[in-house]
Amino acid sequence: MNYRWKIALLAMLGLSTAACCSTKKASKKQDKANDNVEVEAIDNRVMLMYGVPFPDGNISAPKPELPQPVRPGVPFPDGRVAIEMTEERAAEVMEMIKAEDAAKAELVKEVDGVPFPDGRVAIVMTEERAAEIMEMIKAEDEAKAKAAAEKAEAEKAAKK
Amino acid sequence: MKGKRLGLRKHIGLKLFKGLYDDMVERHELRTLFWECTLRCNLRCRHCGSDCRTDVAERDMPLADFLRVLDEEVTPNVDPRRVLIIFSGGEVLVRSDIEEAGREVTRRGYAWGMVTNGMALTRERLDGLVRAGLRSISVSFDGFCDEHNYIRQHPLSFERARQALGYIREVEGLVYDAITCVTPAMVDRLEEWKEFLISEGITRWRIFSIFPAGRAKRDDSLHLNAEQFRTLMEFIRRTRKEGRISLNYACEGFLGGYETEVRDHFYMCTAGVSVASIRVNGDISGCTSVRGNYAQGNIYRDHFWDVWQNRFTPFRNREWARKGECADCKVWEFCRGGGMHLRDDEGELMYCHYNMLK
Repeated sequence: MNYRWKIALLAMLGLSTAACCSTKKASKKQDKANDNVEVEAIDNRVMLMYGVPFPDGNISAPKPELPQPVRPGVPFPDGRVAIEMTEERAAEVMEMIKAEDAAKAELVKEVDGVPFPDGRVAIVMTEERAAEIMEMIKAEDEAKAKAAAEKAEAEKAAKK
Repeated sequence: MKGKRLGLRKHIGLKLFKGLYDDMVERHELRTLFWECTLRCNLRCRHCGSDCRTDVAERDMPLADFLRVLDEEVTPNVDPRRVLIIFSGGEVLVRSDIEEAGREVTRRGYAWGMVTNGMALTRERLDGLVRAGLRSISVSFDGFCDEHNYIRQHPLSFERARQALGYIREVEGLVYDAITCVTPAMVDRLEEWKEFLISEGITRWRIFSIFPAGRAKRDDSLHLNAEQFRTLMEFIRRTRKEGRISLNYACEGFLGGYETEVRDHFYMCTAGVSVASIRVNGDISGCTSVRGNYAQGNIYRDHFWDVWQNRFTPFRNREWARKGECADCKVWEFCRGGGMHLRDDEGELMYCHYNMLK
């Protein structure tokens, strides 16, 4: 019995969530070749004795959607469609790549840090940055303490 | 159907799931990698499976050694987005370079998480960890002040754990849970404890019970009897039905009629199947809770990826465990001898969850 049959039978028994963690249904409009059903194994939901929960979202990210045909062209065996490449189109693509590279380079310059898996960038912690943050925290704490003291005094005055 | 007895629906479900598990074993795709970066700890808990101390003979593994394995052996063979790295101890926050380790791991495209007792987790430290890419964190929170401090043997441990969870809750996008190791003293107070956790704003909770290993082996006051264990299972089942807090029993042990009712999935031991660990001395094993003599290699002697692909037979084929009380057990095909961490040095089963369900 193949994998999908087992999943289907488990689903009929109302136990699919106990056996797999995500089932993505293929669109009815897509043909079989374009079917991108993905059934993830359950192992990323097992709560290990000394483990931590799997982060939601970015880990075990679903397969990217297959590109939809935007112009008539030659179909790939998996259902995607290759767009006819002309000199104008090639120049356009090169421009797009250059622009993307430049934007990435700018981003790296702006935030001197390391990228998260989801594309966010963590700022590298330097001693100066740490000192700045400590100052900010101190200032916040002082402001809070001041506000609390003022509030207490106001309450006292109101009672009097 | 509660207790040991499996209903027909679950029996068929487990038969089908058995096939899926076999597929998983055959693929043995690495999804979780523990790095036991230290055995040092700032507490001396009564139930510690690792028997950790403040000063240990085993020195911390240098970060460079772990990164070498990651770069030369792991990253070329996996999609880092599909692998979660867990820093484990000891108490990982006794190391001063955890942030650097996190940054390096994040830079390579992996998500990472850690378990902590909360003692050393200040708001500043947490900010630094989040900046270093921390994605998931679990905090041990074993009960009310007296019960928690008794187990942890430190008068401030409850307050620190509570405070740590408070800081963590404020970080948007950080996945977390509170872990309660249920002892006999807490069994009758579980409802009260649940209400406390909910009132603290905790949304995700994990429970496990103590198995007789490490320091816990010598302390009978920590072990649940059959009646208490059954009470615990009923409590978890009830709480999950209520749906006010997400609660799961940890991965250990097959639970008969309670399967799918006390955790989100059917029982399976993924140690050596999708979970590997690099221990503090370089040993390559399954989960860090599995005893030392099940190591399958050592990073200072062997190639990690070769070990992962070609060894791990005792983890992936559990026929060797079909002995003692497992020899004639009618649920062997679903349980396969329980979690690897429940086997002693000689391979004998130390604790059977199924048999606790009388």
